[in-house]
Amino acid sequence: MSEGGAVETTVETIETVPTMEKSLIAVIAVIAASLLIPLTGNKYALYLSTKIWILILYAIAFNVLFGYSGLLSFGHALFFSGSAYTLAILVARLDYPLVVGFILGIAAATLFSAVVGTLSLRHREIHFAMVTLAFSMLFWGIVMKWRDVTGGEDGITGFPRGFSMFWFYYFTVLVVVICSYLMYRFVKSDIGLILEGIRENETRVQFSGHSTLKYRLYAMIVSGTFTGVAGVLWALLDRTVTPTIAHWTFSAIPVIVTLLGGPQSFIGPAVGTIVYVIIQDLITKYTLYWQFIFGVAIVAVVLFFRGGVVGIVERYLRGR
Amino acid sequence: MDPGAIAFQLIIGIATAMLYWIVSSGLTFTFGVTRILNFAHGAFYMLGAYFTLTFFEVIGNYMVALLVGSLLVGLIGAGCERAFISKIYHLPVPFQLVLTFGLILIFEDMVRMVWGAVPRMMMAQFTGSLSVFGRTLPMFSIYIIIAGVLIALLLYYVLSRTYWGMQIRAITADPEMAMCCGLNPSFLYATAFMFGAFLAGLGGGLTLPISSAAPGMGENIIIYAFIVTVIGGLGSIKGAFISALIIGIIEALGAFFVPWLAIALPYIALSAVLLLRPEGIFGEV
Repeated sequence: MSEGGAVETTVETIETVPTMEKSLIAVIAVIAASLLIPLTGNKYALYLSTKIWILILYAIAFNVLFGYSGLLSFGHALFFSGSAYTLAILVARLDYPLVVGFILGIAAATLFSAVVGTLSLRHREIHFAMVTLAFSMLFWGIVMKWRDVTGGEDGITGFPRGFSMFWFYYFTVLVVVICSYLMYRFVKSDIGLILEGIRENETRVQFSGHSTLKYRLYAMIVSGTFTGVAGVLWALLDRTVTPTIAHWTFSAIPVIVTLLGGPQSFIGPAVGTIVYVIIQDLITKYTLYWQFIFGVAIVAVVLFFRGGVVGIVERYLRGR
Repeated sequence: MDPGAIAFQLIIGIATAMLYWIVSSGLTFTFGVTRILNFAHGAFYMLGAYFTLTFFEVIGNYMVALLVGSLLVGLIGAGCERAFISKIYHLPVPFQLVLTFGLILIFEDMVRMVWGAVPRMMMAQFTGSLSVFGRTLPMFSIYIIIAGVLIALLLYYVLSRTYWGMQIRAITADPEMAMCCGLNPSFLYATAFMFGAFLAGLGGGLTLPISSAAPGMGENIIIYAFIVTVIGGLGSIKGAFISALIIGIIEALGAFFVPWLAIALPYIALSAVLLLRPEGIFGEV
């Protein structure tokens, strides 16, 4: 909860610095503030903020493909659950060390994204969304049916986390910050620039001699791989993997939080994630019907605030 | 291999296919006219089941309850179009998908508020069974096949023989020209949405004899409806009918020959079609 507040207050107080540095300072302030959370000793806040960090990585990774390349994937649960299940199967079923499971889990996500990307990137818009959806639901079907290996609906338990909850939080923050920085460098690189060009006008980029398919595939693999990092962290946090994370409704989460936060900025998805988890958590304290309120929020964002939360803050700052 | 068993599986597959067809027909119809891929179609399906259930408890006649319930869903669909969907025609696809996804969340919780979170069963209907090829075929399979064929005929009649259907075809083919001829797009889009929601409601009401009404039921069927419509070609009604048959039969025969693979078969079919023919079997562009 402190995180959501920190974003706004920091952004408001520093007025003289240019926007870029402003948001950088805000981000650093939020990260610094969040490092204090485990010290409060509140187990629930610790669990919730670890979860937020992992979902932030998931959302930012998704937005590399969506916001910067203009490709709406409705199947990112495949990369998320693919890496989580790979880790769980390697460690719990085949007795590999945790580190091996962690690395091979991420590698599995890379592989999946390369394969799905190769097969699906010919398509655009709705069709791309549907193909990615189909592949991820195919994986979901396998997870549900191949009980001997995946445990079916029960999932897989019985693998260690490797850290206490306390240190796992710091490990998660470290991994998420490093991964986010790498993705930031990626979208600000020449490749990122070409991707934005493709998003705006594909034909022109093709005329300047670039294979747009190749760059889209890069974006897909980067996005899928970092989604895989989020997946293995998620598996370690709960020390359980269940088919929930493979179902298409889990692919909808990054789509929603990205639109909620604002797809046009790099930290938009992170802001959206914080808002999403906190709204969900606060509302469920008072009413069972958090979905209803959340649905209303989504509809309102699409109808009235298409820049997302980041867009609102920016408009507010500019207005002064 | 016993030919009787295969023929029996075929009938079961066609029955499943007809359910997919009824739900997909509304989805693909709405998309064809408005170019909106409507996630909330699953919510209309769910509402259809609950309305039918409630009207049945009041009226006691399943057929009447089904019709009244689905018509009510149609009205809600038209209301949604006027209130929300009509505001997003010009937006990029992701916004459209997410808004209709938001509608699902809203409707699901409203259903939980009104009817509770526990799945509700209807009093037994169509309980009889036939003996086919030495196996027991539930009467329900026969009824759903009849219903599917009737709905196909209804769609054919409405679209090719009525004035409204003619207007709908005109605005689908060339919205600008249709408007120049004096057609009212707001009216047509709203009524098209109403008709699509009505079909979704029918699908929901028709499943009641074999499955209970539950808040999450729309989320599962909508994926099948997507698969069917994409394979058939988005916006193609004929395509939806054919691809529903393909998916239903593949599933039923798959459950018989390769049970461990059955759940994956629709997705394999979808991937295959999209790779070979991205626009779907009867798709354009």
